[in-house]
Amino acid sequence: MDAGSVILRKCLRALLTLWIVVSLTFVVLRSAGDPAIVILGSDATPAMIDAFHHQWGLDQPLPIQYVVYFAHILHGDFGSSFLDSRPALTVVAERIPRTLQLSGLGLLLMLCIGIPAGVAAALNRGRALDRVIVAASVMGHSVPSFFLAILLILLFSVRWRLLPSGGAEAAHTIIMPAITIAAGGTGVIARFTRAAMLDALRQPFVRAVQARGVGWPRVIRGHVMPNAAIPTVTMIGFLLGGLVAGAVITETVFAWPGIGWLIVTSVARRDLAVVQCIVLLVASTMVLANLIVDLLYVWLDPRMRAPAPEDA
Amino acid sequence: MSATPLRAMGRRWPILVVLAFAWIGLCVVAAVLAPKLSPIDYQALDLRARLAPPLLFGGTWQHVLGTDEVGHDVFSRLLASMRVSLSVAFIGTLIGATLGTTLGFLAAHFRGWLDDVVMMLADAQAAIPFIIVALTIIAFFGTSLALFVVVVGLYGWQTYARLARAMALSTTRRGYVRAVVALGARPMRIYLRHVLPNVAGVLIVNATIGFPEVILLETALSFLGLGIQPPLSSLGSMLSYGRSYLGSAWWIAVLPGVVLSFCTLSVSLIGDWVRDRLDPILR
Repeated sequence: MDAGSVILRKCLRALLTLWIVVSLTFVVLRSAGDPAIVILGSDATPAMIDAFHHQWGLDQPLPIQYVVYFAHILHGDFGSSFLDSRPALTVVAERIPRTLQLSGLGLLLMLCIGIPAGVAAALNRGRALDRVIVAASVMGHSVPSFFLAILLILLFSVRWRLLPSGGAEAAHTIIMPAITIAAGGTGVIARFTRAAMLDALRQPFVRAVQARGVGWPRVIRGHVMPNAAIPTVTMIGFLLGGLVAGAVITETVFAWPGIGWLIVTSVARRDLAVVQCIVLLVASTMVLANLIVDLLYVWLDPRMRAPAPEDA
Repeated sequence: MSATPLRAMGRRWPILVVLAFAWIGLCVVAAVLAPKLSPIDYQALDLRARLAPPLLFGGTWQHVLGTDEVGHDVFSRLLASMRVSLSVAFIGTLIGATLGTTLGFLAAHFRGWLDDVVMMLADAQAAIPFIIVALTIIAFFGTSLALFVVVVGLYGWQTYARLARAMALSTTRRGYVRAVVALGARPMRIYLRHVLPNVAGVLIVNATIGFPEVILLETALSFLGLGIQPPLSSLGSMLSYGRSYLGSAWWIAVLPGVVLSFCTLSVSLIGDWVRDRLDPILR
């Protein structure tokens, strides 16, 4: 298989996953009762319900409803928030920058701490530094993020009064949410990088390069690290899911006005149009992110581009 | 990942793993015997001793771990919460394992479109963070205990399905299974009596590795107020309401958090250790 068909197959797979997600949302929406009442709220008038039925084609047979639903989604029409009757997409869109800010900083922290820590641990295998880094990373991903958040608030806001316990008014309010969102992933990245480095160090080519008289730092930079990068990049793809899940909890604890907090409040208020919009948005982001990671993988690993007879 | 810290220690039963087993054992005993162990009914109010601190921080033997804002005994409440959290996580894991294994076996047995559908659903679920799926289901269908347990159960079914499918495909090709088929055994009998015992070990390891995540899902949803509802109490909901009293009574939130962290830490240490021992199978 050449690179072109690998890429094509991965793109098709991503589209297929998205189609399944949209279809499942349709199934859930339909099995939760009359979507008109679900979307408009229980105090909707019969006239509103009729209008909604007609608008969304709910007076049509089920297969046609499905097609109509699909068309609405493709046009970015997810219904209206029943709280202030603005389009759900608008309500969600204005929260996106905040979430990007927080998760972006979180991801940056994860990578800037996790990767060097993992490399350092692998190069000092078995020594005190390795033990400390491994222990810290196990702790990092064992402590639940909401508990870490509470500990941070207890120490930095309640005891020492250094940082505000929530909100997004000032620049420094992002510090505690960013630490919370990064902690678990940093541990995972550090351990994974460590394992990938150790795996690469064991390969025969390392000894071969060394035997040719290449200096150790160059062996590490030029031969070990690029090989360790491949599994680590895949790992980062998995972490994006954790980042979204982390955003839900972290934003809620710290009252950070992003999508995560929005979905929790919308679920509590049964503002289903908004919930549905966020689900589809998150799903497409995740699918796209995984696709990018897959393509990055093809680019990083020459074996993926070469013909692979047993993979056909 | 063959080189994990536990192997580096080079012992069969590292001290940390023993401690982890001991802690989990203690928690299970505490959860099972919660009503008998708790000194005071966890819903009983002691209005004279509101926000009393734990024993070591100036409290009394009356409330060893202090009380909350209406005088609930925190120790009793902690026991009751552990009981709820561990039960929900345990039942949830059972549901996920049963559902996933069944679907995996069905996919392996019938192949064709059924196989495609199961694998497509597994891919779709793996593509979205499960907390979003859980929140959606709760948004549409409400917060009932039964539904909540099912939602927690849906988490992770796809990992069991993948493992069960792959292992069933390789097991059914083996000689002894063919022999049983030739003897005229029905598919149900083959899968339950001959295939399942052979894949059970791997599935149990998978359950051990996934268990902390199930506990975290339950506590996170309860923390967000969308899981366990009052009068029942989970470690997550305890943390959530303790948040309002961080200034005056830190113990309400910190104690369940510490218990929870030790639980997930212990299970992941055990999981790492088991995975190291069974490395070739799970790689």
